[in-house]
Amino acid sequence: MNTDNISYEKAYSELETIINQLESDALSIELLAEKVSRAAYLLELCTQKMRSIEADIQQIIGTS
Amino acid sequence: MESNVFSLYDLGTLIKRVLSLNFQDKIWVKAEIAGCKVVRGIAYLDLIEKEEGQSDKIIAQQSAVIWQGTLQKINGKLSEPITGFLETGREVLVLVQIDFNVRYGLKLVIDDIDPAYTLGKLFQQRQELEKLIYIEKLHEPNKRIALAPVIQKIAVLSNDQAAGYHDFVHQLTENAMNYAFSLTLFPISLQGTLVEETVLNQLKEILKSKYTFDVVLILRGGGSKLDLAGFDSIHICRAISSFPIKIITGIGHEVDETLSDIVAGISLKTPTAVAEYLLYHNQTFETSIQQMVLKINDIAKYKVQQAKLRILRFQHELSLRPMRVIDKTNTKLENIQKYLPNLVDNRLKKEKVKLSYLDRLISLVNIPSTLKRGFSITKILPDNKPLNDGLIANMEIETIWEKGSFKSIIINK
Repeated sequence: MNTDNISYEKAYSELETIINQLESDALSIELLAEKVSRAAYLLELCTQKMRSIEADIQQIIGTS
Repeated sequence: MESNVFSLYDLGTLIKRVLSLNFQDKIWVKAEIAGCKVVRGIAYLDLIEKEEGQSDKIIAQQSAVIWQGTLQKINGKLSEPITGFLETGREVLVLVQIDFNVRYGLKLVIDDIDPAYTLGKLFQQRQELEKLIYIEKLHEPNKRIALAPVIQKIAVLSNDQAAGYHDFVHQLTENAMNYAFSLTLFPISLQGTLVEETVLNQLKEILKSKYTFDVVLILRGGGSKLDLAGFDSIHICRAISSFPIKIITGIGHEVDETLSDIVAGISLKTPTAVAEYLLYHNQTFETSIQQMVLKINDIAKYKVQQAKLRILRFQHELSLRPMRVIDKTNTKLENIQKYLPNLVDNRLKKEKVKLSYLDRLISLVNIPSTLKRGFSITKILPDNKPLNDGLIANMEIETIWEKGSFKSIIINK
């Protein structure tokens, strides 16, 4: 999966899936570290995207 | 024989005497005028009487004269020149002196005229024609023709010599609004027997014209009732009624109403009133256009105002909404960030608990340690089946204990 181009919605949806799996103990212990690492990555990605969007919007509204 | 013969002069003298004896006083005579001419201040008339009814057959005819002095006297009591009054076709009541001249024959010398009789006759004729108009419904068709919203091309039936026409032209063309009109004059006779003929001919000319007129006007300034009587012609009324262009009449003064007025599309009191009407009509159109422009302006302004307000609201929303969404999303992400380590931790703890439980369980069921604690294991031979398969007599079993194993046979059960 090319994670650089992943959309916010896809990233967030994947993040939710991982959380659900963690909550329901459906996640294999074997994959735990990998999934948590993926979750951390997605979380960071989402946060970055939000910051970028927020900055864009503020600039648009500020200059309109 | 000789004694019975008169000379012409003697006969004439005799007739003159007989007439003088029998017609000492003046007498009132009613008759119709068949012709009239005024020469050097003396009016010469042909008086006739027609057969009763529709027939035009003349049953009596006499020449009459009005001497200069009498003519002046009569003129004074008429509301119009006597030449107009003594129009062909008029019925008159005249006071006559029968005059017989031995050389020139019989002549009626008119001493007075009763205009009330003529007016009464005309009024009576007019009443009958007016009834006919309503019977034939001549008063309706031209009124149903719509007037163009703006009137510009105008055909005028009037006369260049008439003051009423000039008043009209002045009033119409010297208007404060600077409205332009295209006037075409179709000259008509404004009184007398020629009124009917000229009006009918000119109406035909208007239809033949290369112009399409917006309206046709019939204009005539004030005059006596007898002057206006020409416009009471039933033939004119029929022509107006069936005319394809709207006709407006302005005939006479305030109080006059001719039969042409009754059948016209619009009837106004005077030529000046017609000019005012046309100006007002066009002004009404201009005003309506101006009002429309104002209305369009108002609507446009209102729409722009509304749109501005909407944009302002959008702008406000635009500055708030995305930020709300971003805040909400950020909160969610923060929550996940906080929640995730706990979740992982919990999961790991659970696994550890599971493992330690299994560890304990395994240590409990370990065979060597169990045997060491003094327990033994017994199995059914030869297949090493567990005991819970059931025991029967003579069955061989093997028992394993800490120090080794031994076989036994079940004697009794």
